[in-house]
Amino acid sequence: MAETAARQRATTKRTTKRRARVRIRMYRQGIGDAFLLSFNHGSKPRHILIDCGVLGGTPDSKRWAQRIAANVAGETGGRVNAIVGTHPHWDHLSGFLDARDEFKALQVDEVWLSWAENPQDPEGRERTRETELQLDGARRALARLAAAPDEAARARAAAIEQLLSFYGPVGAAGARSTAAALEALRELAPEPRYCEPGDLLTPDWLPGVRIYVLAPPRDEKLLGKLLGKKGSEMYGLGADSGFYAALLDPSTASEAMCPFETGLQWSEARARGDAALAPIVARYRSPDERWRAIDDQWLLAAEQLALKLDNVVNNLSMVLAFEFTATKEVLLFAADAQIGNWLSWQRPVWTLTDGRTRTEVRAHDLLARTVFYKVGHHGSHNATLKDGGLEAMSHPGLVAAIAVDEQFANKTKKWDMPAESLYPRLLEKTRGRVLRADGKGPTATDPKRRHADERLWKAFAARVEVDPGTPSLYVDYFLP
Amino acid sequence: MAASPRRKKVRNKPQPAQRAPASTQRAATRGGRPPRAIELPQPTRRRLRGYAFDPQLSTELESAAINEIVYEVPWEPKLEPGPRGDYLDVIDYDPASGSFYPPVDLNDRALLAQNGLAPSEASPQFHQQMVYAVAMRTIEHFEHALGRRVLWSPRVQGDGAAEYVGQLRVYPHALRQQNAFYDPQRKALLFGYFPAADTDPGRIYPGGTVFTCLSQDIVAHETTHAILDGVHPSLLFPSNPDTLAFHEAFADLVALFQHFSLPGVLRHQIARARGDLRTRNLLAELAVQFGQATGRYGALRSAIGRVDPATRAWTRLEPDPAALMRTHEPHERGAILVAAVFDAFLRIYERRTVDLVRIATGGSGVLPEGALHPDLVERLADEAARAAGHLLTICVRALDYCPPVDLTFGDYLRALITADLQVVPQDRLGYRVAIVEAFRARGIYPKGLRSLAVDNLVWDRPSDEVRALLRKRPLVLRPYANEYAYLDNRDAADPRRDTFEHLSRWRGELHAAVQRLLGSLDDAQRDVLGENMGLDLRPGHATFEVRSLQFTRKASPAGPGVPQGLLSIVQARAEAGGRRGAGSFLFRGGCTIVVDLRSGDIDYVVRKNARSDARLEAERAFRVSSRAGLAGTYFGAVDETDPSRLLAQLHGFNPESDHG
Repeated sequence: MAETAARQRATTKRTTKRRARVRIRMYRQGIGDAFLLSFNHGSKPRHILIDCGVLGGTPDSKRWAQRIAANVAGETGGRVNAIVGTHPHWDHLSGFLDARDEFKALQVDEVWLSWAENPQDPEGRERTRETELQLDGARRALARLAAAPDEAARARAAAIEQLLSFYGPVGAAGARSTAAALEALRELAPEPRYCEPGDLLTPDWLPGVRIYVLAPPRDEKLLGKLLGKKGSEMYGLGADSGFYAALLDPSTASEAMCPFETGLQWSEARARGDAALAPIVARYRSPDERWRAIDDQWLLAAEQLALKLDNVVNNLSMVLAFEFTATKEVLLFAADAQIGNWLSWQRPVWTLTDGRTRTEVRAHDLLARTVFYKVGHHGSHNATLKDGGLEAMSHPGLVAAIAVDEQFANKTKKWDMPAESLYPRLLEKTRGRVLRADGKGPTATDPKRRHADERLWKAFAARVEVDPGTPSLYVDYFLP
Repeated sequence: MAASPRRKKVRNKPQPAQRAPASTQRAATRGGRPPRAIELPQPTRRRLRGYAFDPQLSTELESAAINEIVYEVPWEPKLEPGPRGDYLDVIDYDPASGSFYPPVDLNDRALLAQNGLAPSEASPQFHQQMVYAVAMRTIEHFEHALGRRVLWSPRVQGDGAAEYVGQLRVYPHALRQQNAFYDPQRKALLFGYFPAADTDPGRIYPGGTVFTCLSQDIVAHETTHAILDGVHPSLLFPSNPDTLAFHEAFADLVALFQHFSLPGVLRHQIARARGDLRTRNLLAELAVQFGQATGRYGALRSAIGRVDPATRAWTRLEPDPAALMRTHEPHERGAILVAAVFDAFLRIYERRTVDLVRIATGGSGVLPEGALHPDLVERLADEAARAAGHLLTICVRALDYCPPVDLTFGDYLRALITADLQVVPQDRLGYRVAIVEAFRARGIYPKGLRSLAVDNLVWDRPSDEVRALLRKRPLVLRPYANEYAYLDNRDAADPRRDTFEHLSRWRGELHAAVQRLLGSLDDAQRDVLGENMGLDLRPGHATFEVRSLQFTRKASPAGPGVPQGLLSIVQARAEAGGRRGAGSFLFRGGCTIVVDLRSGDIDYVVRKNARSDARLEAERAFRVSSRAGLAGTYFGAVDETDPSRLLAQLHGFNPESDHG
């Protein structure tokens, strides 16, 4: 009896797989995105790879990149129709560098990047330059903090260092940087396509699918949007700030960055010899009062700099919605979009003409028809807008996928991923149908899936397949 | 309007004049008095020039005239260069530039003769003078309202020993960023400076440097954080969405009301606005202008009212009672509290001035076109300054009637009402009703009350049963109070240190007294007492800490005030955090006991139940949501290991979501 049932399930699964319109493969490297979309197109499926990255500090990260590249090569027969690089963070691009040779061996027809990565785009150039300078500033501050006598300051520096692993492995040389990974991706195709919010991609090799480009926005305010703190802009830490100037070699720092004319400033050595200043220096340097010294406190601005940088670069995520023209169902890939990025989706309006009928499409239509949601930024709190975002995804068949390794995020990085404030609602909205790279999603026996009835759950389970190998490379979702 | 107790001018008591030591050696000789040195009274106030707002306003013709004012601060006889006095130690070290700036000597004859240095952005010594003046003024406001000396929160060493901190360190040029904060670990104020943005070149010289230490608002705000930490250290351990928000709101309220206590500024503004009091609310408009000028009090713009740019007509906005439910970010949440208190202030001001307007208009209440009579301007400004002073005092006094842990806005409302009732039993000008109305309109009210009637909001008095239990081994505070009254001896080397040390010792003695009391009770009695004091007194659980002891006799217009002793008892136990079990935290409960020192009776027990499961669950949920922001994602929830980070971050960049 049991055997018959098992055989029956296997048959169902095979049918589901064969008939699926698309297979979405999420690789299981840990924290980092790599999604291979294989669209059913007769005997020659079409392949789009969205990102390939492993967060700095992940054990075996280079090996993982090569495994993924090899698997992509095998699945696609050596030809990928398009590769998307959503935004310049290491956990999305590292694979193109770490498995450079493997990717070079592939035939890649197109590379899609956002306007922000376009060297011909003045705004994009400005963004890149600013990111580099801020990163440089944060790293310089960290280098100084590493030698700080204050233990609490060093602990905070270590946490900031973890955050900078989005730009390359901690302590790595410039060659293994996100910028280098982006270049490696860029050279896979002759000329990348740079996308704008509001673009509609209808590749002729992918009939029956429309691809909406929702983001990244060009709006400065939305990119740096500080929700909950309106009007408070964090200028003053950028390239032209006194903060950065003070971190540079003093000989190159311009005098203009000093708060007062230099004649008013006394070095500590000179101050010690001055009758008026000596008592002040003595008080400040007194061993009994060392606990009140502030020598390193200004460097901790690096914390806010790193947060700002992270927020802006994540907001530069290219967000794509794949729509099946026949069923109008949508696959939403939100990359690492933060709130400002989500809010910008309201702006583009797509006008579709079909003969004489014109229809307008907006982001909220797409959200309402979403059946697969690639959860933003490994399930962190700020990367899924609730009202007008997750709450607007009202399709009863919604499935979500999170590229996260909870244990690694919590224990090693000390990050809240998936966010305790978001995850339970995600389970509710999807009726338990959440796929996780770390395999810790709901299972058939899990009480968390109580939102799905038995029949729905079985149907879902039949569409999911986990790589049985060691290590298990991927989890597949077959969209019927 | 009849004269009411509120009308009485509240002035600082002049300090008793001290005599020069030389004059005390006076030998009485037979046959006439020998010649003696002239006795010079010591000064009581030090006059220091400064900005009323910040340097930007001095460059605008309209406001230049009022922006440079003279602050009067208490005279500190032992003030050293720095300035370094009894309360503050300004050390002007700029680590990013690697330089020290020479300290200002306010006792220099040249400076004494001309009220200190003239305001100047280019002079670091003026910066030192400005932070000193504003911080001292803020301290004085608190001392006046609390009726006791301000003590900074002690330095807690690794072994838990609390060490006296005499002076708050002030670093006027500590940071190169747009930030300023109170660092509770260093007991220091850190002010930053940064290049002005070129986004608003109309007002600010692009590329110029903005110094946070030159803004009266910022200095008053940060100083208030430090003072509040001394009064209520538990507020830096956020346990619900209101705790940090309260810290922010309170600091803003103090800064805001300090503006309104500058009559020169008020006179100028009221005269300029020509006092069309029928359609506009001058003070609200003024607050909005303050907000625009200083980039603070954002909520006042939206929460109090709006000036139509075309007609210049002011309309009061209906407050949104649901806003509090939607708002989680501490600044925004705090802004709602600021708006509520400010609204109460407006109601009180209107009530205080309606008669003046009637008198000035022959009963019609409709002011004619054109400039107002200078006498009327004077009186209106006077009323506004007085009402602002009252509100500030009430807000500060309420701190004594707050629970020792886990403060919510609703608790604070009850504390406000209770505090005011102690001082002004007859509320003839309707202050308490105005406060309740303004709070209710913004959805701020305590949970679990039958009605929001004023007498219902006063904290509960303990039941007869509880009184009887407490009387079995009474907590005798009066001897301490008597000694306390004479601790503040100006001749003592360091009266504040004396006070601190005595209070620590007495807390230890009272701990023993409470234990004796508990020892005299049987289990059932302990249970009753624990329930009423918010403590877990079951055998094996009953470790507790006498957190604070204070004595107060708040002077009031109605009389000398009731002498009270305030004792807070706190319990803490470790509890597991959220879903992951990680992030265990200390769950606190306890009570503030208010004792009438005349009779020894207990007036109020303000409690937060340590045994309440509902409170525990609420705090757990709060801790989960506090990881919600971007900083929370990467750097963890607000925690107790590093309160320094908390305030630095609160004032810096932390993009929060508004949908958590």
